[in-house]
Amino acid sequence: MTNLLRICKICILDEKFPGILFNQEGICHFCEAYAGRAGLEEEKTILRDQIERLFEGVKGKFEYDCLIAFSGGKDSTYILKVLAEKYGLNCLAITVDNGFISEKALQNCRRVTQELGVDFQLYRPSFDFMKGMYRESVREKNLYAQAATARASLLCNSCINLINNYMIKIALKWHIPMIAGGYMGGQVPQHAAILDLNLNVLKKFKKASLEKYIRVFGPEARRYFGLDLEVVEKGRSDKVVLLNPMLVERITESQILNDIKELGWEKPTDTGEHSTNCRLNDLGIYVHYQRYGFHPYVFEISEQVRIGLLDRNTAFQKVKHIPSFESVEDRVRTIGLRGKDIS
Amino acid sequence: MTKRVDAQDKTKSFLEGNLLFEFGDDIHAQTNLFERGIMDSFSFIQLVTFLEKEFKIKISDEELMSYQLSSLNEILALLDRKGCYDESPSHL
Repeated sequence: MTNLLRICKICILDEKFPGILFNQEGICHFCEAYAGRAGLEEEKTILRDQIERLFEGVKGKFEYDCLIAFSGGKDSTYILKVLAEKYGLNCLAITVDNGFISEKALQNCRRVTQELGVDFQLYRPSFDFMKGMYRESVREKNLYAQAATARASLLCNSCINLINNYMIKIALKWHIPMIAGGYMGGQVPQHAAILDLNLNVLKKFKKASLEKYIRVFGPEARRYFGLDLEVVEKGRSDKVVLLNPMLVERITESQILNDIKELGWEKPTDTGEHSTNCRLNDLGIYVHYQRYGFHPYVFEISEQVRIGLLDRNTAFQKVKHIPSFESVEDRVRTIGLRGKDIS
Repeated sequence: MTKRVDAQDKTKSFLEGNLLFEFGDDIHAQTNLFERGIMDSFSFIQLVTFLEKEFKIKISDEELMSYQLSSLNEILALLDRKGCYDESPSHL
């Protein structure tokens, strides 16, 4: 007898996904909640208005209006284009090179920022530290909260935290009032479209989280995950807002690709199916699937189905393929993982 | 004014929907969500944004530093102190 996996009849989440519940009609609680949320489009319009008011409020008041966590991938490229071109913001784009960024993606970074006339910085943390960070992210069990690992792979979570910390540090040091990222619906919750970065909250948690990173990644983690509390204190009068403008956009992947083509952006061919900048992404998917039994992109892709930006069959195709060990073996070796670390 | 039961439902739904877990026998209203590895600093920032917008309140820096807000009951107690209910609370 075959045990069929229960899959939501609207999106593509199945019963392996953490915390999922199904109703009698076989619809998951995420889709049920979405259907029950009246006025979602109006909510997005209100958020978009708020974002636009924020832009108007900061424009020209500081050296830069907005700091962009610019991976060089399609989504952050699109957001950079929108902020610089449509809203005329004076942006500083920062790319964090983890040592696995595709050469083509780095070319895209240079080309796109030149085309948009945006200041651009490349930050390359020690490759030894990055390799160790990725290795220990896999080895250490329960490093991240369940919600974090349900939305992204362990490798991506570590990288996202390091990048966020760097962006906050730069925003506080240079008094940049906004930090924007290219996260999509599903990658971060809808509530994360506009988040006030409360510096007291930051202080409240920083010590505990830094201790955790130092314990797992070693003493060098202080440089990458720590914040100079004096800078935080000085920055108290400044308001830093975290923005995820993609959450209020209604745009398909093909529209994004089409839109950024005119900036000379070209899709890298060495970054796997789900990334347009990082060669480590497939390893993250491989490890995540081995450990948790579901694809780390399934929640994000399900959200696209739910909101009508992707059809269900295409969504299934997108998560059907899991990279093989052979296809990621070189990166397993590079970061020093062993087979027993992965399961 | 929000009824306590509505505030409780909204907060519970927010936590479950965003932190991807379900309240039940294992995780209940008194459970410290930080200690259980369910909530992290990013989700805490989201929680504060949600509470301020949903209940039209301002949570001061002092309140953020003084109160733990690490369990559903602690969050509901803060909402109670801020006068967000139209009835007296009876903790879960």
